Amino acid sequence: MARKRGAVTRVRLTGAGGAYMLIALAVLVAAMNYGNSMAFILCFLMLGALISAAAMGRGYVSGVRLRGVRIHPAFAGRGVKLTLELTAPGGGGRPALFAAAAGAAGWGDTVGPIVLHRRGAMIMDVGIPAPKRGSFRLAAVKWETRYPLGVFRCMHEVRVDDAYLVYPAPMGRRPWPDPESRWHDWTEGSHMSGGDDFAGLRPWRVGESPRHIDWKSVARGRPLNVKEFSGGGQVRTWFDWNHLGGVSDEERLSQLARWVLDADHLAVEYGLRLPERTVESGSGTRHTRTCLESLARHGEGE
Amino acid sequence: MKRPATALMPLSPRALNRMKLAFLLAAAGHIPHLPFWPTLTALALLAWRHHLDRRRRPLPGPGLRLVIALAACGGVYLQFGFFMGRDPGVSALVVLAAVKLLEVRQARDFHLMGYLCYFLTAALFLFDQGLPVLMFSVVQLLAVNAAFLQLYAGDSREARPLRGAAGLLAASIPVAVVLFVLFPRLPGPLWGLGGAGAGTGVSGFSNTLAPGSVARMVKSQRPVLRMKIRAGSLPPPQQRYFRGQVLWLTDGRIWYPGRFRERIAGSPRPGVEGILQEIMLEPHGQRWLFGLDYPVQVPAGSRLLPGNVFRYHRRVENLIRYYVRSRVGGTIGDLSLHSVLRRMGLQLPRNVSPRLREMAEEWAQPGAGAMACAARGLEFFRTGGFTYSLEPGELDPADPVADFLLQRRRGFCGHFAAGFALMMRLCGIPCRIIAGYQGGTVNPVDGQLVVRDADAHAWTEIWVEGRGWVRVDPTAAVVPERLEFGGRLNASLDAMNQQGETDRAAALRRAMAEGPFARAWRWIRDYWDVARNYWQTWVVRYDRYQQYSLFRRLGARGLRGAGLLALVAVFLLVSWHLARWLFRRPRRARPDPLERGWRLLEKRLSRGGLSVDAWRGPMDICHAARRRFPAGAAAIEPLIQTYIRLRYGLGGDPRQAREWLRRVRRMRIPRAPGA
Repeated sequence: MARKRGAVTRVRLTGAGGAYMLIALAVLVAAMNYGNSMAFILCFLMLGALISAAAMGRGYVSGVRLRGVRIHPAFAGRGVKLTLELTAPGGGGRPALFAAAAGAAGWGDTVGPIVLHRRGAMIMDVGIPAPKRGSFRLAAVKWETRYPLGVFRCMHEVRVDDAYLVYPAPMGRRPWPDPESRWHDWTEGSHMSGGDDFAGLRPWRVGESPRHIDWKSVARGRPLNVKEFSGGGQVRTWFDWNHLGGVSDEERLSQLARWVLDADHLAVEYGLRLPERTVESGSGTRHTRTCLESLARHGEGE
Repeated sequence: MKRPATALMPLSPRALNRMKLAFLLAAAGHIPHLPFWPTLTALALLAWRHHLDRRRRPLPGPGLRLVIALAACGGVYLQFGFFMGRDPGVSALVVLAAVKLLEVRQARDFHLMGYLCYFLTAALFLFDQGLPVLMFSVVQLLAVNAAFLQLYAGDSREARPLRGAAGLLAASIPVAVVLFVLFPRLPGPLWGLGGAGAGTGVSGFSNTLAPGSVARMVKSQRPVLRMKIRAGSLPPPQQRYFRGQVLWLTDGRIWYPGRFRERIAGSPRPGVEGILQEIMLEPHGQRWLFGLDYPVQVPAGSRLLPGNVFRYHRRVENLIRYYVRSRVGGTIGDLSLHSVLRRMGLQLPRNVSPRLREMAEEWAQPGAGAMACAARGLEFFRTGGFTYSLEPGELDPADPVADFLLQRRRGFCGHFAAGFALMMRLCGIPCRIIAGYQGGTVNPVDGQLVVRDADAHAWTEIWVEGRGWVRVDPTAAVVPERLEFGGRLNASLDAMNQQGETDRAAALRRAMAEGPFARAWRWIRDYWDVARNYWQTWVVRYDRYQQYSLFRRLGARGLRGAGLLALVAVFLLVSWHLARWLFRRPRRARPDPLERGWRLLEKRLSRGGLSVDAWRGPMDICHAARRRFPAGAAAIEPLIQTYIRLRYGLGGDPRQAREWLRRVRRMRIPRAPGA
């Protein structure tokens, strides 16, 4: 985690604070008008409380440290989730903190209230908006409070310069590309091929026999899939950028992401061909992540 | 920047309860001086709301609230007949705030409720500016702020709202004190005062004298004025008549001042030697000022009226201080009586009892002077079997004076003065009633003379050709002790009246002799009076002149207006920085044992070849370490698990944390297989 240019603490008057000042002013005017010393004292006590409240709120947020930020990769259109770890190294606890983070697309929602115990740490998730796919840098993390009187918003903002990835939103209804087999020609007489070993699932195509459809998973709300059986034969599917003509780049990426996710879900072996890079065939979580990262970074000019 | 609504705290029952407590205190402060029903209604509505909350019932709808609010306004109108002014305004505020409490559901209403409580506290000072009231208002402030803190600190164990509110208050008291001294005071009100205390009869002194209808007199010991002698010496008790106002006209029952269409000058004697008094006068809602009889030089801002009384330029609604010079022990040496005054001094009610006329003819022997006639009148009071009593009962409303003089013969100063004045007029002697105070007690602590409600007195003056207006006090003829003991007499009156005439003075002395408790009580009262006096002088009455004189004493002569405002601005800036420093949280505190141990663990793991990035959580590192150091997993894993428990569990025990740190220090990372 890289922190740059330090941190800023801001104190802003809230609407309720404006009303508070108006009340204090009204008491002052009444005090001057009636020559009422006690009203003067009340007004000045209110003013003193205002100053102390600002200072108190400031100290409340500025003493909190950000120990770490963990960014969870996400798909475009949904927010990126950030896990923050906040600590209060000195002073008492902070029972009512709200936090938010800003990425390339601005500030995310403010989350809270969280309770930060004395000398404790707190882990919380905040989101930042991620409308577009790509690789971005985090801008800032802030936490704020209206403690103690609600008359000020005291915000502490730290610059955070971590990178994060937003994968393309998985979308598209193109049919699954033809798989290629090492030992069998899958395209002909597919259901004849087979053997005894369950090899995995692949989407059902029009014209295929319904006998091998995995009805159980259909019952669970999954799309129509066909059980593949092979006698030790390996199935490999290539998701190729060049085979997706006639749509924009972003739509192509979305379609590829859809396929990658489906393939990961079905646990089949697949590879990805992009104009600037090729991911060799493979499977597993790490492979999927590599593919999605490649999709996210497409066009960055590596 | 986006401004999400989620940054507001949800309104918790605990915060709401604190706000209810704050409102309870704010409304209860008004019980002593408002009619009973507004505060009672407010407290009932508060109890209702509390009941609904406890039973989890829905709050009343807007229609019902509107009905209650309108009923409250109607009640205020019925009670006072108007809405403007202090009492109806505050009454309405108390009830409407309680109606508002019925609909507090979110932070916004909560704030409004808190601000209404501030207003109720401020309104308290329109009635009383004493030190106890200020202390109570500080408690109220504490309660409101604690409610806000409870809201903004949530319900967790860390919240401690009362402590936070006390901290805020402690920090704001010095600010308030300095601002109070520095803030420039205006010479006068910003706009006309809407008669805040009009007709509220703050003090026992009223505008008219109605001996017939007043069945009893106040025995209140509340101080009315304090007098410090600036030049001359304090006259003996018998000479201490404080002149308030002259009552010229009567309708047979009530005496009142009357109005003068023409300007008739009073009789000032500028430059005359006399006793210079500094008087602190408590607010009484009228324009009368008091001074030792008779005033010759009146304070600025007041006017001398016929009859040598003086009026302030506006109603006395705050404690005021003035200087007045008086000539004590003489007569008002007017040489001639203005024809208007003579007419007024001889004015008679329409129907006077023939028996009184007969008696007057008896008194007014032809050829005898006014003084002889008055002496005969006093003799009548002295020997006519009159009794001095504070509870004489009501007189016959048809002809109260005849009833009093001829039948009842029980009364207090007002009765004697009214009876005597009417008789003098029937005798053809111009006579007027003077209302004011007589006596007073010297506070031994600071030597100031304190005049109390119970010292209220009425006496008469008759016109004697060649001498002017001469004071005649018929009450003194009945009870000479009244002049010596003043208002203190009232407390021992019963003892005095029960005894025979002969040993009256002895009985009085016996009754007035103080036991140890009474002495202790008087001692406390004397000190309290002095403390109150200082409070009044330096805090309540801290005005422009006090400010000037304070700065003059501090060597900053001429500091005023804009200079003071600049000083206030500088002070606010300084106090902001001071407060920031005061409330800062240590930035670089020594890391706690958990933090130190974790850093040590990370260092050792990374030395062993494990990449320990800051973004990796302890759980993650634990898994990685298990893979990396299969041999040491048994040692490392429980350490990390304990760390997670202590760090992220609820409030770890510091002893456990230190023990954990010791274990981390003892642990050795085995050499990784590949390293």
